[in-house]
Amino acid sequence: ILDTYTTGLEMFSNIRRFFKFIHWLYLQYLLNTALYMLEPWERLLFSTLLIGILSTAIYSAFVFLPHHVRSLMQLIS
Amino acid sequence: MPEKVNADQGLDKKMNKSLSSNSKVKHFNKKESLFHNYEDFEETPTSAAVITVLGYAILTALGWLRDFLRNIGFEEKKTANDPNPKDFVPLYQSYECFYTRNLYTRIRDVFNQPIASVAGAKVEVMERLSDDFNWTFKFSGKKLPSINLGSYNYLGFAENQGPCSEQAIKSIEKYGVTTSSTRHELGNQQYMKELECLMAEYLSMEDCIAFGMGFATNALNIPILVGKGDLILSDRLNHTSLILGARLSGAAVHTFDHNDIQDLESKLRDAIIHGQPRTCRPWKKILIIVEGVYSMEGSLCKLSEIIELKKKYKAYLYVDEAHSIGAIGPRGRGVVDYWKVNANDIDIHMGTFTKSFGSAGGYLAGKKTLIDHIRVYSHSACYSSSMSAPIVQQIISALNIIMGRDGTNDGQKRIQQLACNVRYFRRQLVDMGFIVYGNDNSPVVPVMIFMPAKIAAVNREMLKRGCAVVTVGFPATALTESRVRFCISAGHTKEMLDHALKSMDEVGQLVSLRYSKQNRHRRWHELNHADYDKEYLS
Repeated sequence: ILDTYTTGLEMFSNIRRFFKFIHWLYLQYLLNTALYMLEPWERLLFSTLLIGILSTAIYSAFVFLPHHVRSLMQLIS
Repeated sequence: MPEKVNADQGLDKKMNKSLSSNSKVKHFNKKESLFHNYEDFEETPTSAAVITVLGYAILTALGWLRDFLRNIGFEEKKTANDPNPKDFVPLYQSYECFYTRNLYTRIRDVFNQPIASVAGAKVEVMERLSDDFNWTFKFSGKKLPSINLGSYNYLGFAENQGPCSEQAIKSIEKYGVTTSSTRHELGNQQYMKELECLMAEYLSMEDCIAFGMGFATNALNIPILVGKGDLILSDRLNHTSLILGARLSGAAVHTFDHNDIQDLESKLRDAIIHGQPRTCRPWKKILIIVEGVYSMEGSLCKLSEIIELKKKYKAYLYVDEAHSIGAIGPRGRGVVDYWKVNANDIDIHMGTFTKSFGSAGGYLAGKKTLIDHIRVYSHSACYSSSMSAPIVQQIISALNIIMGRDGTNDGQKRIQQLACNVRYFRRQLVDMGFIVYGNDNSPVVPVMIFMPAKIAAVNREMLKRGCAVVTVGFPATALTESRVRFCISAGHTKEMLDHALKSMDEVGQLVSLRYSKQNRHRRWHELNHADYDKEYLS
């Protein structure tokens, strides 16, 4: 148990690596959707639209899917 | 029936290509590298193509939004405005302007970067800053010293010291800078005759004529060679100057697929069998136009097969060696030297002095009767002013060095250095997992970056790490095939190439440019450097 305990300094560099990874992911998102070349307000607009659509889809999935799945199982059996 | 055979052959070729590339990566021995003519155009991965199109769709949608805001007056119009008076045809074409306003301007700071020193192996790029998203620029005054991977400086003659520039300065002292006349009037200087004799000897042709501008050599002299009633068969990826010359001439133009010999043969047969479109008379002459090295793909033309075809069907051949003269071939004589064909089989050789000789201008070489005809009838010889003395002297000195006439073997060393550099650079890029187009021996190395935002990202990140590169997108290439094009020079040392490769590796990791499905993706530190170093020093 003592061997797996990381020292304070290593934890610091791990956190830094994690943040760098998140930054890299954000850069990939910007590059692949061409938001990298757009102005900040356009990025905000597109990201808001995207998050809005995705959150609506996820919310409807959480609320409606169990009921749909149950009625489908009833239909099959 | 013939189409099916062609499709099968195409599939076999693709399978053979991928098989041979796998074996090439695994077994790399010296004998293979001495003359292997391996050319590859790896297919675009589907995911990259889809994401690129989606990226362009998002940009287009936002471009419409911005245009709408500009039209209703919410935002200020920063471009030139077409007054659009009633009953007049609009001045600007719609998509090109839309593209320029909304896509090109956003990343305009990576194109047309001004430089502040001689464009040799190292160059100083002037730093530009912009407050309003690239509509206006301010120079910060800082000069960024960077490795020059974008200039066509293949043999390293673009330098401001050394025998070439000294002789050029002496020629200014003797002849002045301008001739103040055209060649037909009073501008036919003695050094022009010297240059033309030397160039004809270099190419082992009968005669040669030189012009002040490479683009104009193509565009203004093709109309002299062909006219109405002739047929031009040109490669689909030919340079704009050739296309312009073909259009100006008034001849019929058919294009064949890039480097596709079967397609060329079928088009030749169709042309000879069917003749001119309405009258069915035979074509007066058929001219095949190809380039030695294609500057956007880095591929070489298949010269020996084209010459076979030309002799079989009795057509004429025009080879544009702008990028290949001096840079390709064991003695630097261009594609003719590389493929070891007879130079007299090609009817007209064309080339430029801008790339390998460190100067400006173009030339046409061929039989003496043909060149005499061009001397009299060419638009360029008749109306444009003749070449300036230091420019011609630079070419003459460079030619003397390459041919070994100045007593040293500097020329041969430069050619070998270029070949070594090209092999070293290309092999490592391919082994790292990037998609690199073109022939293994061409000094033009295009690496694919498909997405529009990555064009800007790659350029800016490479500049931050001290490498000045040229990234190209639409309209120089197809819409979804943007690339970064490296031009290797004999002036680059191994340390410069290592630095460039390391930067490319980092940038490739940051921007995720490793698309290749044929080669494994590797980082710089995973490559076995001893292999490449041993091969470089040989």
